[in-house]
Amino acid sequence: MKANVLAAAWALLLVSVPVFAQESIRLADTIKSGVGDINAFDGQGKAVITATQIEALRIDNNGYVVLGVDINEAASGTEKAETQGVTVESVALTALINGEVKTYTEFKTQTQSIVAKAGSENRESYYTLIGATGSNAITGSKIDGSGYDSTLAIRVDDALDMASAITIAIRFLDTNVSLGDPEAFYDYSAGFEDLALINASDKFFLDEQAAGRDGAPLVVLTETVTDTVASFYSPSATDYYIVAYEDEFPNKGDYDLNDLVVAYRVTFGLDAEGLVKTIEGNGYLIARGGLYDHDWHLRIPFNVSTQSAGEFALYSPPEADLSFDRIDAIDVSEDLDIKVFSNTTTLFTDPLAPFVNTLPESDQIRGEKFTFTITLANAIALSDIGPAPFDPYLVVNSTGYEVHLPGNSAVNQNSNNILRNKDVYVDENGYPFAHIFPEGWKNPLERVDIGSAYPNLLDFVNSGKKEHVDWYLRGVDGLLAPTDITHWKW
Amino acid sequence: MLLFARHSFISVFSVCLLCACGSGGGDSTAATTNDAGSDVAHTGTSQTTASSSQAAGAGPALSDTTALSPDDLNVYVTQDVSLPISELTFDGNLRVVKIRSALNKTLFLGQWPKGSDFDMPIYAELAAFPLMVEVFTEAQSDETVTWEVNYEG
Repeated sequence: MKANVLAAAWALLLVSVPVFAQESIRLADTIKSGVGDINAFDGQGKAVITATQIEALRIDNNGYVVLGVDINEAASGTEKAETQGVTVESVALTALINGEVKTYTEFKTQTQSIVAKAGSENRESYYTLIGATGSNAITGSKIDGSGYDSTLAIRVDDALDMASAITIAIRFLDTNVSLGDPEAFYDYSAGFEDLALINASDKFFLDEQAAGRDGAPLVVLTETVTDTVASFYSPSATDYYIVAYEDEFPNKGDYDLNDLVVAYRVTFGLDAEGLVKTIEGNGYLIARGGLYDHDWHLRIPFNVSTQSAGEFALYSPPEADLSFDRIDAIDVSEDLDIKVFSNTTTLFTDPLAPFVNTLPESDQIRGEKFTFTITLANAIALSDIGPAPFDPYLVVNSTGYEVHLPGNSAVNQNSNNILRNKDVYVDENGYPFAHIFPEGWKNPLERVDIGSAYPNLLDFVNSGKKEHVDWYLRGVDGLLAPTDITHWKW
Repeated sequence: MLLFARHSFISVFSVCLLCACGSGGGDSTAATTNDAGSDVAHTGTSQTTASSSQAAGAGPALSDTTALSPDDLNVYVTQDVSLPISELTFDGNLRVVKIRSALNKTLFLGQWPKGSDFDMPIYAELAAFPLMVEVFTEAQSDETVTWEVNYEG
């Protein structure tokens, strides 16, 4: 009887003893300019890391020594704060164990891509590391407060607790950036990349977080099949359409095409069968040269019915005193029609002028930017989606009219377009009330006819588009707003 | 502060509405006066609007020209791109398509399903042509096929 009580007491004691997992440990050494020679015994702040600690982490990760990597890259290709990447060329962990040098070179990351090395156009598959500026820290971890993004796992089949030295050599691939993406995206710059030896819990967190992965090009997942395997960009991975309006529809007005000017880009994510699974959009307010109040919509028509859900976010520029940030859920049952910018005369203002970025002596004002991402419940063919540049349209609250690109129709059946039978978006002489330009185009100043601002435009038209195809880059400085992409894109 | 400034401006501007100078307005009757002009002077600022007649090198106002077709101004054009990818005899399983413009901008990048052809319209600016279409695998460059797609008008 006593024996049984004692056994029960031991059992209770055994199950109640807490088991502490080895915490992740930040390393002192970093990767600089694509090269990392890491002493695994040197912790940040002169902390000493022991072989016993590293062995505990190896066991926790089922035989892998796992590094958390904070990606810190300069923008190149489509790289930006939200998504950055590097290519890993080689990794070698070397340990001195009982007088014997052992080297382990088998490693893996969560993602791969197909890139060409500098000086070559031969593309091969490499492991990659992807991240984002300011990605979430690992809550509750000893490396909390950092911005670790990706994980790099090195297979080590031997116990390391008796190691007297452990070093890790990491080399990033020098990619052929002249080929554009994906090479330009997965290149490396000066860095530097912080590193940490991490436990299984933190590895799980980082792998699930997948920082920056959504916006990265040509991502091949190492462990599982990714939902989207290709991206179709309109107009390109790095450019924006600029749509400009005359808002006095159905009157032509002064034809300066600056009553509202918006930049936007749409990206379709395709699954392994070549069907559209995700739709992303982003863009900026550039100028408002009209006094009428507008809402700006981006509509992407579907030929088939589909359900989808997503998120829309609107951000005020960093220097704005008044924030209009908002995040909304998107629920789409038919077309995708998002009211992106509401009440432009309130949203986009210059405190010293009635217009924004259309007067020659005004300060240049940065406008709001937007992003949205939706995932379709059932992937659909690209051919079932209306063609680029889609249907970016203006609802002029002051007149009750919608203004669309030519060839589109009014959406609101109660709009004056329908009620007054004004649903054609060119005037009697063929002038469109909305027009798409490449992002190098600058809007004319107030009351400057676009033909005056761009002297080659008429020659372009008269030549049947054979000559002066770059007319939109050759405007008259004094007649154009000074705002260009370096200002409005932030 | 800026909120106050913005509201101050709106308040000043509303005076213009009251004095019937035609600056802005809430219905289509004011449509012909939505653009700049006297509105700016009434705000009391030193802002001025540009005058195309004052600028050297200005072109002819488009409004003075003959009628256009809606497409005449378009810098962007649509070109169908049809590629017989299914006929390629790559060794690797992974087919990757990359379309870049003459301006070295990426229009399409990613895996393409084996056994399927690429067939879709590309809407690109005229200066972007010819488009360069590369199809490659995870193997070496001798398995890369490149097409050049010109705008056919």
